[in-house]
Amino acid sequence: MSDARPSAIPAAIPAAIPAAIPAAPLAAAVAAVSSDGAFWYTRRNLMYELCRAGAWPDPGPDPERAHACFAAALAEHEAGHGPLDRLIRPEHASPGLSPAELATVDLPADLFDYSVRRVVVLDRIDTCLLLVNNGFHRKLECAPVAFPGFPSHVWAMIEAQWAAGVSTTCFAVHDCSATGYAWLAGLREALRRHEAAELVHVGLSVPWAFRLRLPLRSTGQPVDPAVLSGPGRDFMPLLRAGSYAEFEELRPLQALRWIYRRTARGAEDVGFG
Amino acid sequence: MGGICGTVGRGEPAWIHAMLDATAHRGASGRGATMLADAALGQLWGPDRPHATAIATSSDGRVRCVLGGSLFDTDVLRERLAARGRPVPPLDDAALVAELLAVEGEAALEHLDGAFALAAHDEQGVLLARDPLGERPLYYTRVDADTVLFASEIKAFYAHPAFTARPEHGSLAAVLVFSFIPGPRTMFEGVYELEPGCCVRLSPGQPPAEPRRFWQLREEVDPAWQDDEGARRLAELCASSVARRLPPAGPVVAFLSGGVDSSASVAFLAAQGVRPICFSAGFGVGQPNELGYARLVADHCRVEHRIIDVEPDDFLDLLPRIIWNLDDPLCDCITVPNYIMAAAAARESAVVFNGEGGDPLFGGPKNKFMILGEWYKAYGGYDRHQAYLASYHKAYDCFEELCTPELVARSGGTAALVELVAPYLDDPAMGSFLNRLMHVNIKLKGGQNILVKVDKMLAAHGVRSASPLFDRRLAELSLRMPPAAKRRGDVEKFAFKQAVAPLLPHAVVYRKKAGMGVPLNHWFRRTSLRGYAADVLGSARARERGYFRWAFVERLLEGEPPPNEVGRDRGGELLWMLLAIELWHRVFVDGGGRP
Repeated sequence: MSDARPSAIPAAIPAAIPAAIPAAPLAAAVAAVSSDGAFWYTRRNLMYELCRAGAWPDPGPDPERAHACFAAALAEHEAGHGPLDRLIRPEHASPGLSPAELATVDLPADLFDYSVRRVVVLDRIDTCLLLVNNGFHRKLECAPVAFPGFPSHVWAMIEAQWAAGVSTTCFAVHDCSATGYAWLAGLREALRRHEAAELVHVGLSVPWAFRLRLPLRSTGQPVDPAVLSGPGRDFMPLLRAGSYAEFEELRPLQALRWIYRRTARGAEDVGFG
Repeated sequence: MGGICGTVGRGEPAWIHAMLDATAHRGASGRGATMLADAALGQLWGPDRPHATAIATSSDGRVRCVLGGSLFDTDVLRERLAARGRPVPPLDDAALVAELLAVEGEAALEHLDGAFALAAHDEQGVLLARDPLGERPLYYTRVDADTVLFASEIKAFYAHPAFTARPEHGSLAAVLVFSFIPGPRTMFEGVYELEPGCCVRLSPGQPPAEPRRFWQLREEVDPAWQDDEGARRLAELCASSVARRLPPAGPVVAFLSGGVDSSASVAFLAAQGVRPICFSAGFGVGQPNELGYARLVADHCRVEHRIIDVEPDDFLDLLPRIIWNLDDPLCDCITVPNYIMAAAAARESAVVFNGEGGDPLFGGPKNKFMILGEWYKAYGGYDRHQAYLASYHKAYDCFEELCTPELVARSGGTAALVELVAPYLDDPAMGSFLNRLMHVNIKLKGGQNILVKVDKMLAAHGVRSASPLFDRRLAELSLRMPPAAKRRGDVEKFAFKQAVAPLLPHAVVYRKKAGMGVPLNHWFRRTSLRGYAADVLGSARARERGYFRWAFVERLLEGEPPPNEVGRDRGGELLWMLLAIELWHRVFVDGGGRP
């Protein structure tokens, strides 16, 4: 899982990246990613929306640096204009609730006696919170988590139910990138220890990126083949060559619908009443 | 079945007789009306009340009573009276209540168990009461300074010349969010539903008093609960609950969906040697259904099984009449198959058993969304009350996109609905969150939606509904079970499934909940319902009401899901609600109470 904390502000913002985000395109981008205030969104959602509008440079070969630059510019903007509504701020999210903290947020005692057979595992805290804050788990029976360990109290429950032998389907969602597939390998390795956990891969692949009209960019940096070892897919050479597409380039509504369609099969339908 | 009606204050014989006429379908075996000095009481009864008369009077002459429905455990009540020196021979239920009220006053109500709505006249006026879980409905309204009306069905109020139906806009918001109207209000301005387990005093020349709860569910978890022994006890109570609803003689019908609850109801009947004729609904070739499981249960229990196909061409002409029978626009589309199956059932029996209540009483699947919401409470985007409103998966998420600003303003919006659910969801007397959810579901969804719609759809055909799982003793037992006996890990209704497992095929008990899959999207997109809905919702009459944004409705009619819908396409469900609301206006507001 990548670091959820905002990347350190780059010492020097590259000349191609503007120092400030233009206000009008930002407002339009916020309206677009939030579907006029209906959805929470991540910083990356917002950056890619501005990229689509031509109001922010494409992340190009160094997405992490681009994100860091954008986060810095956005922080600057918020300092001057006030915080954006419904922006997900993973740096403020508690890593999990301790038993003492559970009591302070008025959670009745029996809540954590129950288990859930469907877990959506994400490769970033941002995307986990995208599902949580938009109430995805209240539309489809599943627990969104980020691997490894976020939120810790939910992970603890899931590990306890694995230990008790409660079979659990873990839908893995990640970026289409060498990093994303390396993360998947790590998750697969971690779940191997738990007989009750079944891993179902629903991450972003190259064919899915094409179907979702997501551009495949390139870092231009080949990846150590060892990182993407194991059973290959026919698009792995592209990833090994540094190609990538990020899940958060989808708008939240589109992203949530895509995950829903990929994970809803087999869920209980509670019908009309 | 059965029903009551009456006036408090000024009354005319013609009014009470017209009220009885309007609800005549509830009284297959008899009816009667009595004019008193300051009230008029009417009663209709079915074959389950062989000793019923127009009115019952206590032996001291102080209390007169009419009762719609019937009581359970009347022997216990007679013993109670005998202990107080009032030995009572086997009598009609209304006479028993009159006697009990004369001896114990209103305190007697908490000892009544059954499926009933009653009115008792004494020196203070009229006392209305409704059974603890709400198996039989009851309404009242003050039509002028001198007259309060009450009846088992709202349509009876049209018998009074001063009654005018005006839509209650706050209730319209409730319908859009819940698909029914929780709390005391109805779709009719000034008409109130007496909530389950409540009583209210009506005094001549006075506005109705505040209703009072005479029965309340309490969480009293049994620390010594043992799974096996608990399941055995639960099975015994279910069997007893079925037995207390059996008619003295004659055949019995059961609605069998193939889900665990209706299957359990059939299995408990069969275990007692009763062989119900089972009816299931199918929704056309190629549409998903649970008929295979229903057939499996019927074969297992060795009972007759009939399937009735329900498709739009069969029911479009019936819709106004169905809405008329419902009184309020209860927007659960299952009312249609219930109505059609009830017509068929009426040819076979005066009693129809169903499996309603298993989910609210024993920890059904809808709780999981709220439980999951609480797990993430610390991360924002979650409000317990709003999440509960949204958990009905109706129009909560698109309320402001669907409704015109005028309707949002007049109805108070969805924020006004929070106060209906907050007392349950934040109830400090219930330590378990699951029990809080069960409590609100039993009281609101159970007593004001599920039981009401079943009662009215069956009563429309002169048939009594028997909902054995919605039983007072079972509800009380459920609140004594530890929460983990209801939801064990992710197994819903754990104890109930344990209780019924010996009676049913394993595949029926432990399969995933599928819901009653009425194929609304298919119907609205590919059948005659599409044109019908477009005609009704697109009519000048509907649009002039000014409730809904036409662009939103048009989009639904064109087969597109609501704009921000993430999950299952619920466009058909929204259209069904809008159709029910418009038909309700046509029948009750425009049409003066005529279908």
